[in-house]
Amino acid sequence: MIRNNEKATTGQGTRGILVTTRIEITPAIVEEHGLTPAEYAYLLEVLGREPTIAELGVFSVMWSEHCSYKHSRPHLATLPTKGPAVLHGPGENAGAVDLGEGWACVFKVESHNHPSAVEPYEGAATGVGGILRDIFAMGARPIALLDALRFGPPDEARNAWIIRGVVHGIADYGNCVGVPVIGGEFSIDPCYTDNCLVNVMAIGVARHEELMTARAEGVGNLLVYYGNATGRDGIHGATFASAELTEDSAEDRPCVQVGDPFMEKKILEATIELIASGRIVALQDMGAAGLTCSSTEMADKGGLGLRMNLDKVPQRAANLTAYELLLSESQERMLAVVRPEDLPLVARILRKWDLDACVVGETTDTGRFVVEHHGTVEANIPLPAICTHVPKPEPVQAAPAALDVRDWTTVDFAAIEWNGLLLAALSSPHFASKRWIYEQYDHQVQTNTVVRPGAGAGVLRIAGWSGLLASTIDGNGLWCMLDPYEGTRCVTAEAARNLVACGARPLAATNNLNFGSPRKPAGSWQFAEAVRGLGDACRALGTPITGGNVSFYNESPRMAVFPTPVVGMVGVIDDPSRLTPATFRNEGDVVVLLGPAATHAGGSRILRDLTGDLVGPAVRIDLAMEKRVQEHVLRLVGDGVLTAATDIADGGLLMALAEMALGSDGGLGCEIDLAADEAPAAALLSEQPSRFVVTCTPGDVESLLALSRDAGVRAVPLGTVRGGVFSIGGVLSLTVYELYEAWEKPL
Amino acid sequence: MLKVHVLVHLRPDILDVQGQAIRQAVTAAGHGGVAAVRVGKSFRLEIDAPNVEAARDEIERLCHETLSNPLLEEYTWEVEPS
Amino acid sequence: MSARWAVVIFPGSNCDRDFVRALRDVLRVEVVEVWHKDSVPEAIDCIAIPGGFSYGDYLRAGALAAMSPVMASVRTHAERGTLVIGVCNGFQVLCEAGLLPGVLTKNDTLRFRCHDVYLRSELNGGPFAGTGLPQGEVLRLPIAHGFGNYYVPPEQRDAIERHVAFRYCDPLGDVSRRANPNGSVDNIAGVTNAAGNVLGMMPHPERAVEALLGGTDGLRILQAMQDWVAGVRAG
Repeated sequence: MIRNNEKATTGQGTRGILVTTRIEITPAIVEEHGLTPAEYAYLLEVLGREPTIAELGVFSVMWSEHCSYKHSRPHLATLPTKGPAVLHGPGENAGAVDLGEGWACVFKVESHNHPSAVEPYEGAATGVGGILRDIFAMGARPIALLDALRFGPPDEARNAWIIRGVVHGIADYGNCVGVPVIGGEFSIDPCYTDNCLVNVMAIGVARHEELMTARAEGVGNLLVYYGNATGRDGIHGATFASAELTEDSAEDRPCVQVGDPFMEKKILEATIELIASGRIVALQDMGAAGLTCSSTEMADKGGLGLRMNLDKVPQRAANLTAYELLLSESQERMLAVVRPEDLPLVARILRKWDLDACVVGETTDTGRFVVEHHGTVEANIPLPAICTHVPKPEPVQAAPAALDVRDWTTVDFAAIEWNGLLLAALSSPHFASKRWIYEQYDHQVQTNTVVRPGAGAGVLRIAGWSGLLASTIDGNGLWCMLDPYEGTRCVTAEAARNLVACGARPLAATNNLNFGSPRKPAGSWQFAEAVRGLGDACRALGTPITGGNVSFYNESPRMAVFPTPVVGMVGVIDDPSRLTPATFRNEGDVVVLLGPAATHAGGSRILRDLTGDLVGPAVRIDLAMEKRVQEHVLRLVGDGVLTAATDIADGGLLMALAEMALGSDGGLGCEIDLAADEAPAAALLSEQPSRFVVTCTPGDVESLLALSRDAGVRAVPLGTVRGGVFSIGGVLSLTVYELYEAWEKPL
Repeated sequence: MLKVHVLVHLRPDILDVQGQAIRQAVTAAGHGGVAAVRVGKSFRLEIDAPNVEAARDEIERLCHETLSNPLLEEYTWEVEPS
Repeated sequence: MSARWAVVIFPGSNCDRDFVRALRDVLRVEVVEVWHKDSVPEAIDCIAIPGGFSYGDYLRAGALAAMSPVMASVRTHAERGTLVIGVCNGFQVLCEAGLLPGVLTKNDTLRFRCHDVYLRSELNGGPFAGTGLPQGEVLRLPIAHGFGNYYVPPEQRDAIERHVAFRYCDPLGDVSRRANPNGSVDNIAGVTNAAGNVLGMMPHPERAVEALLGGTDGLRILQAMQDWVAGVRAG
């Protein structure tokens, strides 16, 4: 496709810097590089001299949160990362788990929040490119994408522009590379107005023996660069040298990263061929901090050193400095470690894809990162100082965020007209049909998509493997704002519940932690609490964390995003015949609620949208109960008792039932009766966890109830699946057609 | 080096859906005076030829057979001062 | 004896593996993959040009692939009567190469569209329908394209009318404006050349060959090609 005609462009991201190696390192420049005086003192001690500007740039990016995880690492270290299925945990390009029969699933989620806020189309597109490279750098062919997107309300024009750009960017990039988007979430809240969240999860598969790592081995091996040439895209360092800024030409300025999905497709295929040849020692994509991060991490993991000659780096802009070449984040670039004798073969494979093998350096035994440019040594840094021995930031005094929470009982439920409430919720952008989004994604390419996007978890077959792979991505900023610890536990449980509902056994998790500033007490506290909750839940549910991503500073002077940990999870349906739909299937089926009774409607998305307030109390979870209910549902699925199942999450029982109706073929609805003593507000709107709505044939109800009793899981028959009608006794009465009319509104 | 600027547009009889959408959007944004928008592509070529006459046939062929699809598109080109 | 198939692969093709799998694992026929810099071998009965974004579709959809070396051999085969099916980007390539009439331009919705559509078969027998796919039959197949809006100039419409293979329709076979997903002229979803041995279509038959993935209507087209080749061989 010719894509450039619809792209929105902005003038942002083009504030220029012209870096030369002659720049004197002043305290102001150090500060502009984000280094504290203590960090700079450590830098001087490590080097034993003043850094060059290129070295300062290298330290700055390698010690940034993005590369070093310096603020988050102490917390992330507490997460469970081991399990019988885990093949590669955190630390590699992506995590990998064993699916059985020699198959491995490689998956990871990554954010591109800040770039998407500046240039939605390219920001989102390059986000997709980056996460795909993480997957194929592991030796796995990417087979699916899921996207978790959060924006401010689309009735603000700028938000609508961001939303359309992000969706379009993901679509164009994923469609061109040929990786289906099989699921995701799309959430709206005013807190994401200044900072949208664009988290993309990619899944790949490989045979165990094809898995590749990013650990360099052997002295004298070559660093082979392939893919796009390097330009001034996305260079950090911002405004520090504005004094030195020349008013020269726009060509000398850093600029927004631009995605090239055609190149991505070529390096994907070439990389898979390279790995299959068995001639690659180690491999990494050039993502954040580009050439610097990819080369130094591979060398440091292998306990080696590096010598690099920047003159050999393919360049597409004139007069690039060493600083720029080291830090550029130009997209679609890979770096492989290759034994010298294998170079001809590697070059031949790359040539097939019209790619050049550019040898830009070699591994050494010095443990140092030595960079030459135009005959001058521009950097000579001990590798551990930038990769492992990263200075620890001063811990920030953590303190709970100040919240103005309104208790759910203060909402005037008597004034609610339930028919109108449901129709309004269904037509709100948060709950409305996402068809307008996922139909822009080629969700069937690669012909593996068993369950298409739109309802519940995405399900894939993998040719040559007997099971089905289910995947989901879930977050809920509202729950986590009310209580980051409990909220994150609930989010993690919801992800697992999504998999269980389709009949899948949850296997492992990845995460994307979207927070405000960790240097502020509230942000620091929210982050610590969320990670603690994530660890607790993953331990209880038996889903180790195999990798993840942290995105801080999602805040503007006027607002920070709700703490929004997003959990991606994969699971296995061992017997494909047990795949369970998330929508009503047969008229006359009995609708049953499994799980504890609702006690309140705090944390409700519908009440948030209705009142504009944070409506509490926070949603809490009993993880032992959660695990019991999940195992029970899996047993019912295994016994073939269920005809459909879905979990209760945002929107409560009300939305769970509506979605079971809306996704059904042929307009099946239901007739539901609440227990006489139940208040409709809590029963219908509560987002309390550990609950499923399931259906079974009338003949199976007795056995479902008996099995539930034996398992210690509360089971309450709610009513019956009916054609065309959607009624809840004494509360609301609508037709499925009316629901559909409200729900199917493209943005 | 001859610098040639080629512009390719949809033929006037072909509905330009993009142009139409852009016109609607700019009108909605208050630019009421915009009566029509046509979207096209611009190519800047550098051709190794001593002058226009030597290159004219090649440029025409390139425009006609490659840079545009005559079923749908028309083109214009001009030599830019070097 | 079953037909020998070739699947042409350009850099940027992304349905090539799907096509190979449909042929090899479902239809169980012999398939060779032909790289864009090579030629389609002589002893081939059917050629598939798969979907994707050949060369990124960076000029016009299919335009750069139409100029690639492999297309010379596809042209020779087509002139000789070898069956050629181009799907999605493959259809665009065949149009740009002049092997099929018309051109595919941007969807009138301005959006990429991926969903199932219904198609009415206009084929009256022949290599892509045979006896298993009667004229007027309705098929359900997926589409996934941003440039599927089929256009032929008014003066050529009469000439191609006899070569229309499929039209977008509703589930009952009614060819309506509502059923047209992309603005294609006369709801055209697929056409053949005048000789009837080259077919281009936007919907993806290779994606609809397994019930697990939601349908098997695509098999009917591929099977017809198989049967045709077998019939020709039997003389």
